[in-house]
Amino acid sequence: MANGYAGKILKVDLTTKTIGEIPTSQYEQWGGGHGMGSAIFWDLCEDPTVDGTDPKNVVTIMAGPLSGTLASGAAGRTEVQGIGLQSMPRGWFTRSNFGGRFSTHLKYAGWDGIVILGKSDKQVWLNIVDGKVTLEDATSLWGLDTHATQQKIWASVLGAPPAGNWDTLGTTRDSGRSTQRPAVLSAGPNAEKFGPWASLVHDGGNGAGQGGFGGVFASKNLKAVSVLGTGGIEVADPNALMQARTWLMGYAVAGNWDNQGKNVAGNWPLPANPGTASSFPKGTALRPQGCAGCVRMCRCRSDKIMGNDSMCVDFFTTAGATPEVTVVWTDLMQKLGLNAFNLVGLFPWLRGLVAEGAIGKGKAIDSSLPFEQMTSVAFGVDLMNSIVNQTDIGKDLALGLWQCAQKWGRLDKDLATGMLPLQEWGYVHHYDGRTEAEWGYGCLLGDRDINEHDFNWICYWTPTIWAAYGMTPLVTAQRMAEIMSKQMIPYSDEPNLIDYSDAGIYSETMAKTTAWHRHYTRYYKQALGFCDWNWADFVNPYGPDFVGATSIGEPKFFNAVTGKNQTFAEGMEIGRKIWNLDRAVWILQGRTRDMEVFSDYMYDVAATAKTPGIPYEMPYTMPVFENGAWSYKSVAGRKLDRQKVEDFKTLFFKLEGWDTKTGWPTRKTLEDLGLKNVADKLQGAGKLGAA
Amino acid sequence: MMACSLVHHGQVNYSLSRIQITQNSFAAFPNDISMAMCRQCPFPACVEVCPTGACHVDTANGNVRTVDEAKCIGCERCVAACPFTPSRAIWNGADKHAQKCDLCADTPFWNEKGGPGGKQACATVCAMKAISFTKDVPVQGADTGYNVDLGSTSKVWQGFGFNVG
Amino acid sequence: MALKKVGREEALRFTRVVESDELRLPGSQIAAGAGGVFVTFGSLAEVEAFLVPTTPEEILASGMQGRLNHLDPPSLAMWVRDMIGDSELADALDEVVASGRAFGLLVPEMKELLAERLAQCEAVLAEE
Repeated sequence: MANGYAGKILKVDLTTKTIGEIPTSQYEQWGGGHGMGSAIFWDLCEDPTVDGTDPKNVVTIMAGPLSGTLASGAAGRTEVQGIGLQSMPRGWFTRSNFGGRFSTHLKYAGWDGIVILGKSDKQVWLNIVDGKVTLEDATSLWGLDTHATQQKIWASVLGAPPAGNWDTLGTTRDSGRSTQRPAVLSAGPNAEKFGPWASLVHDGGNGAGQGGFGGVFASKNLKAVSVLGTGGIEVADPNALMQARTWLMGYAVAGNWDNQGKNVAGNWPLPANPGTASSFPKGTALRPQGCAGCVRMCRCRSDKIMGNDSMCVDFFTTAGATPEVTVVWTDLMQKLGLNAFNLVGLFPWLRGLVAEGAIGKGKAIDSSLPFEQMTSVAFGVDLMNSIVNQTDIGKDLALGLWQCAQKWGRLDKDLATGMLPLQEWGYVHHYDGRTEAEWGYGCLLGDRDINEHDFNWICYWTPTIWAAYGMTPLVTAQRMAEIMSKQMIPYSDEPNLIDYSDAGIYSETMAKTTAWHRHYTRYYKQALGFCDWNWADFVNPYGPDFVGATSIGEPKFFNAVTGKNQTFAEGMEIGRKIWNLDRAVWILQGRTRDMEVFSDYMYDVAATAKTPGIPYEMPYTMPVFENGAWSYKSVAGRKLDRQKVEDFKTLFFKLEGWDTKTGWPTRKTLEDLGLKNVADKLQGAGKLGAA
Repeated sequence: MMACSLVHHGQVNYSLSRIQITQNSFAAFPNDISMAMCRQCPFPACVEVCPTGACHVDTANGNVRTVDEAKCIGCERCVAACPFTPSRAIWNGADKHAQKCDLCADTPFWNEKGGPGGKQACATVCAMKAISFTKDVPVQGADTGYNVDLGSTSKVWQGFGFNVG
Repeated sequence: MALKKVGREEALRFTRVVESDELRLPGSQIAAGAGGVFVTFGSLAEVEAFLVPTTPEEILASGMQGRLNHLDPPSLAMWVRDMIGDSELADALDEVVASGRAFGLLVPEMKELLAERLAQCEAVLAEE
């Protein structure tokens, strides 16, 4: 059927070792990726209140209809979901995703996704070659790093190390041929020992980093999943897909080689590689590289191998080490399958502890790590190995950052100052909810650091650079607001959706912005796989009158592949449905509105340089609407007001049709979304929102 | 690869692609990516060995070497004869015939004129302009026959700040 | 902007790292894709290394991997005066700040001043 779907989802029960199928049609209304993953979790997880290491945890690894197609900046992602090990005070039902070529091969093998249930009695890896699915002995792989594991699996699947020729998979001449290496997703060595830190790594550095899914895998005695597909996916309108691709290239350097100067706004016209390139030692020869179907190429391959497929925070952005040191650390981090973002938070915390004299040989927190040389190769290597092997402070760190701080008796104190930068749910502070409000709220009302840069680049980073260098902005704040309002269907009648003023961040329009973001990301980015490094495209210097591709581009690709006639508004409504379903799971897991509070420093600490000694944020310049006019203004130095955040939550709950007392969806909201069964289950648990 | 299979067959399928790109994340640049496209050899071995003339020089389409699928008997001599690894003539196990790069002369699923005088799908979709059609025949001699341009002379790559060594 | 030469005692004082109970200078390092990270400095050398002259084109061209190292210039001058005790350097920094230009445009001059002072100190201390 030419609609972008393979037609079936693989279901693997590790306890009984049975391999089954779920017809994709059963879940097609959810789009793919996260939508299907949440719906499948809802149906198959007997008890979402269990710990993530419990065999009852259900893990989904989902592709979508656009995976493996030419849908630009959307073909390469794979979405992983399940009960995580990282968040506190409990592991929420959570998500992570990764790029590369895994979802492509999954689709070509004939599967729209994988569902993993139970726990194997022996250490195994899952081997998928087209329709042939087997569980293989992983005893010899269990203690290997992610890179060694993948290469061993390649040789195992192909019968020999890849030789660059056509391999025949199967026994007949027509049983499928490929020149490709299997796409493998692997946990690190003995990942059960550092579960809350453990990521899943595909190829050199495509990581499902947050959530502790490497630990979840290990708890199921699962080391890795390998997939090789020799088949294909029919597309509804191939010509329309080709035209959509070239259309989108017009919004990027890919279609504007002779006009590359326009890079002062919009995050993705250029390949992102100059930034990644600067993470490598000078003189390293590099090429840009991208995931399947991408137009942007955000990572690199180097002539030193170390750092291949890594980018951004993989390069230890907070450690202050030189590129020569960093690239060694990055390589090790990927091999060990450690959450790079946890390391981003760990370095400032350790530096604070050192400055306080609280950590070191013979100190209150006794450690033999070379803290006098925190930017040396040895420090990073020893630190990471200590976590993986539970030696020195690694024994406590391996519990998770929050848990470690709790054990050291420092949790409350360090969250009060922000020295331990965990903004919410025990996740490392990424973008600051005191300045970029929709980011903070999205994290708080969800399950993790959102890591969704849709507003961040345009409203936060770009104006900040303009201001830091005294530049004339490419677009005025008013124009930016106009462009974005129009794209933020169904809230397009609101002119002030990007008002980040002191009043704006607590307003009903910010509630709409936050809601829009939740719905957009749940559907377009996490169900259909539109990549965060390419989408949303709000303001684009190559767009007509600076208007980017969002709200036009997403349906263009979806409809070309699936043959449907779905509007952007319809997609947003599916996103709202997915978001409500996720909310229902968290509620069954015990979520109440009282739990939804930031760490103390977000309310009590004004992060400015004028009050040195505490976390400080540079002058973030954002669009504000004040005194009847738009402007870009520094909003750094804000503290959040506890009561105003509570009032905001009330506004948000009301907007979403949730009980304002509890934050629980009401029956009407759920039934209007076609989720009567969800309402019934919440009611049975005594957790349905009152109307 | 996706574009090639899409415009020829209406599906995205690496195994049906007449251009093959393989990647190894654990190799050093420039050996991390291998590009295998048909050289349109001046003395094509695939044409020479074909017993039915299915694999032939298409004089109506700028002399592109291509397979007339209706005449293919599935002997795969063309696949074996290709001097390059992986073979540029490939076997389509679903439809049971050989096929090869025809420079998009026959793309039923794409509304663009192809062939040597027209557009090629792979070059059209390549975001890095890595693929282009050329009439300057390179020196033919195994896989080392091409002067590989690693972008050292490309102002675009230099403009990105890429040091290609 | 030539700073006066320093003696040995001053060189030792100006190149010191502040004690753990003394005030460190705060800064913020933002990697566009990763957010702002609080960092602190205990010496002139650390501050000098942190300041990276760049252009907005370079940062924006790096997309979400762009990085900007930021500190508050008036706070820098104050810290140099109060903690490091180098009032001449602090005055020179104040003068740069008084120009009213945007932060990014001040970085090369601030860095140059710090580097100049550090080079002077190094030369004096090497004479022994």
